Amino acid sequence: MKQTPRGHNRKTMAEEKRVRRCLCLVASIPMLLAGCGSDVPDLPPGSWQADMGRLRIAVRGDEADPDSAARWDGYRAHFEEITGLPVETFEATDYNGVIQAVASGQVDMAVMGAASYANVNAQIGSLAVPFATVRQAEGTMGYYSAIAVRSGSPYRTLADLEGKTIAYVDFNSTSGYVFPRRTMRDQGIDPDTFFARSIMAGGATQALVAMANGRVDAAMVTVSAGTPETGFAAGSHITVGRRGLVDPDDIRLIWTAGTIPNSPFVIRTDRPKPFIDIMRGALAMLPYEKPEVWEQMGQVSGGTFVPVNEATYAGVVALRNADIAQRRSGGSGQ
Amino acid sequence: MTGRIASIAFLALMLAACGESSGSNEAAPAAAAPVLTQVRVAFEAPATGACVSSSPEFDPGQKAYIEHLSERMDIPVMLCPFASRTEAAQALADGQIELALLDAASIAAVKDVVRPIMTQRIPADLGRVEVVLAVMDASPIQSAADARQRPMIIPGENSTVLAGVQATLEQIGFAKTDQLIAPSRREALAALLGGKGEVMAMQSAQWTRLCRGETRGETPCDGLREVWRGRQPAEEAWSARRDLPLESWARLLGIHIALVQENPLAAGWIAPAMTEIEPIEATGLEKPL
Repeated sequence: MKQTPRGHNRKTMAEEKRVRRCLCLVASIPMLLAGCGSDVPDLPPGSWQADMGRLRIAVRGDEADPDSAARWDGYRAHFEEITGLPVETFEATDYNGVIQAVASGQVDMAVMGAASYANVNAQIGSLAVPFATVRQAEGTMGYYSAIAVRSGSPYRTLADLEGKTIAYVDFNSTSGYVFPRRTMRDQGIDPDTFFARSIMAGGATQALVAMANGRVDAAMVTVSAGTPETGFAAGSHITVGRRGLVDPDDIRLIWTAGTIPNSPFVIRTDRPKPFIDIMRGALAMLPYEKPEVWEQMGQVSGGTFVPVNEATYAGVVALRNADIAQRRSGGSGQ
Repeated sequence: MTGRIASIAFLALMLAACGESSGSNEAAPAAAAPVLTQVRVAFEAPATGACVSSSPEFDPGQKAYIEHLSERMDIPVMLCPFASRTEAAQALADGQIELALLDAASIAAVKDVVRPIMTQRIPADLGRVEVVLAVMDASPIQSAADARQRPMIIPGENSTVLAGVQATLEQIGFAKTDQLIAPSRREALAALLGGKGEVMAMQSAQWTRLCRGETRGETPCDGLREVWRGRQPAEEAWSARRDLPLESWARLLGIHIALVQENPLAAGWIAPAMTEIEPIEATGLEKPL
């Protein structure tokens, strides 16, 4: 295969066409071009790296945390060191951006919530699979949904919120929407009629801020590193406190649902054969070999990556499908 | 239709973080670096012998392992009998094999060129617990050895974590005496500041969360010093040469950590307890005391 002036080689016609289409799109939106301009290095002909050209990873950004993009610098450098490929991360502003980037093949890999993976699975099946997730230092591989209310409010139980208002996170959020609604139904509560009104806040931080500001009575958030019995050492309620957005003493958790399997790294299976094994190993070694990068990503020391597969998320896939069927037959609660 | 979805997806991506870290425009060192061209794996046998990829004496687990690893690495895989771990360690150091199961004793003589890369997860909820020992800045304690026999404070907010921390401390040589169990990490800190102990020990995750604080600008660990951090030592670990190419290292690791899930027959040979295979740090076989 002829090598291009920029060092591309072994590109198929289809790939070239796809790249040209993307470049056209990028060119039409100068804002998106900032920071993007990696050259493809000379890669050994016939190698899997030459087949891929570069590694593209989609992540969901956090608008409330301006440093979230910078946190990926260490990951990028680590993946580049191991694979020899230039690594690009694409930060989507919402859940759907990551989902569609993986489903369309625009990226090779992504980090996404379990329900987002379920959405991808519904679109393309095994063309993308979950292959690694985080096991927290406490040994848990999952987390919980929790309903937060203002500590000065009279609400003590879920039943107290009947006819009140709630902020969910996003339709594609596992813990902020899909999983807790299923749990409520299992407990005999129809969330579409139980709450007087619900909003989609766009993130757990935004949901908590909306609750703290009195825009809604309750917020659906994520908590982890513990159980309802031991309490939770991590979660949205801790994060907003550290950022000075909401005083942790003003938040009370009154209901939990879980556990939900931790967010997976999802990888396209139509990439060269060694890719998935190398990326799984690259992730797994990170907390042991580069603990500073692990912590830079907001992870807590003592945690690790563990392998997962489609079976790990089968329950969430079934939940999402059931929720969609429910919404189609009875409304969304909006 | 596909093109439209692709376009929408791309538009949805904010390229705020797009780009690459320094050095990626240069010829990629890892891609250009050599990778393994064969994997020779040591196993314990009555007598040391030649490496072979098949033998009528291999059990189904060994055969499954060779087949699985060879297919996934895309290179020949052989098993090599060794009468002792010390011999296997030396062969590893000499570049005659690529992987060997070693322990602290057998790796000691070759640890400058050989290191552990993966081990079986110990059958405990938390695996190998990482512990931090912290003291006040002004304390004369400078190391784990100095901290031995000193009054210690440990948070007990999570009983499973507490048990893991105590097991790690015991394994590295700390007696279980003279430990004050505080109800929470914040109360452990208050006890240290109040002079109720000289050393605070906790799981590294507890330490991180303690030091992050709970409100904006809070820096609870100011005035404290970390004197030791480490995990429970592993009894044995699959080891490789320190110059193992990174790509091959990642590929070997990626294949092995998924082995129990993907190929139980092969996993049963290399990880007889059938607990996960997990990575291990370079010092994972060593005891600090």
